[in-house]
Amino acid sequence: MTADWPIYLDHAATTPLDPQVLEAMLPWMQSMRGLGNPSSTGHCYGQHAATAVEEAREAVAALVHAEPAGVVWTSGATEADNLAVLGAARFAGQRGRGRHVVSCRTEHKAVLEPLKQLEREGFEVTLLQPAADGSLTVEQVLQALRDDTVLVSLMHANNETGVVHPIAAIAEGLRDHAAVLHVDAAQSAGRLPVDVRGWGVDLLSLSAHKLHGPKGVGALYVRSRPRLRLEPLMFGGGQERGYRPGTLATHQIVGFGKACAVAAAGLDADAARLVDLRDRLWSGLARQGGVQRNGRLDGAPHILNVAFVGVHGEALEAELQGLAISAGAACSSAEAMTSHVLRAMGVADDLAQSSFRFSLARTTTTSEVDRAVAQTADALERLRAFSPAWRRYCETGAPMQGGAPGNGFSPGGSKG
Amino acid sequence: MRQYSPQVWEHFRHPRNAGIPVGSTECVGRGCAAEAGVEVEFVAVMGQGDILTAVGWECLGCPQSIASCSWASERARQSGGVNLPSALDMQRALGLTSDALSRALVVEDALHAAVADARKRRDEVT
Repeated sequence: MTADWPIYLDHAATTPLDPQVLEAMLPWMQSMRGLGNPSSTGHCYGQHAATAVEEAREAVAALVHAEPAGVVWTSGATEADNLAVLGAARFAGQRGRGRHVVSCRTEHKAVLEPLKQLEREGFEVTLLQPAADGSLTVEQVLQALRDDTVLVSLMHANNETGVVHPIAAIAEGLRDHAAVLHVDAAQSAGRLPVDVRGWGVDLLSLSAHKLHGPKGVGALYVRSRPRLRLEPLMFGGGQERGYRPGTLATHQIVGFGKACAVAAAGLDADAARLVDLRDRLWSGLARQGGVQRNGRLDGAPHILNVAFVGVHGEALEAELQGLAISAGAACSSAEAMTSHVLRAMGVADDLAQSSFRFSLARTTTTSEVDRAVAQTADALERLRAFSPAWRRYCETGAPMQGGAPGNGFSPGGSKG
Repeated sequence: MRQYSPQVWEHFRHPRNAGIPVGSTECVGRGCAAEAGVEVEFVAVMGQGDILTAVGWECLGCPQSIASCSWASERARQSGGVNLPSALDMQRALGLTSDALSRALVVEDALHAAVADARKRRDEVT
């Protein structure tokens, strides 16, 4: 990265393209060999492209232990989520199987917004309330089921907190129910083991750019045996089993496939290293005192969400110009912009407003983590020096105005 | 990240009169805009001849709030407490965004209350 650019710790938003991925993609943009439409298999150009697409399909399927025939290319995880949620619910609803859907308040907007659309279409949606650490139990999910429940949609790893839902156990619990299980695995694929067949997941959303692939391509796994049917969102040439018509973007799909192959090869080692880096980051930040970890210790290895007591999020964000991180709610109005995830977990508005997500990747270095800690420490020291909320916290141990004292606070370090 | 005027950046980076002067904690003016997460405390010390001799502040707030505290405290001290700046003065001088005016009003309230408190206490003594 350019020397004067900030340290990039926003990998839950997007990741840098892996050089191997770029190398794999280039021939499909540079030469006549990359010209063909994968659907035009009447000549060698099309056949060549179709072969590459199918190889990529196998690589993507292999990463999540799914059958390649189930992989449907999309523009990304948002489209995959929309196709899964709307497509599964509408298909079942139109056939009189039911109009009830179960999900969680901490889901990504790419799921929550389609759920709102379903409500406008007459569906009933039950949004489960997570615990204060963001977790859900299998029992919560099963208790929400009704005879007319047609879909359960839950993410694997939360994009803001890294909290991991027990998908395998939930899928097991759903085995005797007709509801379809959709899992958004955009944050977990390539970072945690995902086992579609072993778990019994029906639909799974993936995104290439979250795992060092190109932007603009993703996939929805749709169970093919026994065949799961969806109502498509678009209509056209019948590509992708009719679920997602349109000419396939061979170069992006090839890149996605390569990204999955690279991720699969290094999954265990990368995950272990990410855990070490994340824990190093957390212990460095916790040393500053007055910090709260939003989420769980056993979350996704690349995400750390931290609330800082005694500072305003917008001021801390302005101070941390040397870090590219994601603010929980850096804005003028806490009411309007507070993270819906942190709000669902019951994090007080003032703490949610001073919460930041640090997210790492296999390209992150120990030096970057240490510099991030040092920059954050300097910023906290400067802003807390004239913060009445910090003075009060030091005097009383109370977090901030309106915030309840909690066990999640790290009291260590100098409070002065 | 929000964009701020150069004046806001200057006062945010180099805040004047930040902190509470030692031994003057009884003359405090407070302001709060809970919906914006802003909380301000000002402390003023009045000397002989109704002259403001010291002012300090603490602020939990955004860069525009912090800059407003800094600029307002400087103006108040320069004028000896005779002409206390208003929120509109802060907005004009610092180039605050329109949505920051409510936070400047919090600063105005806190500063004016602190000076009024300081005057009252001095009068009680004399």
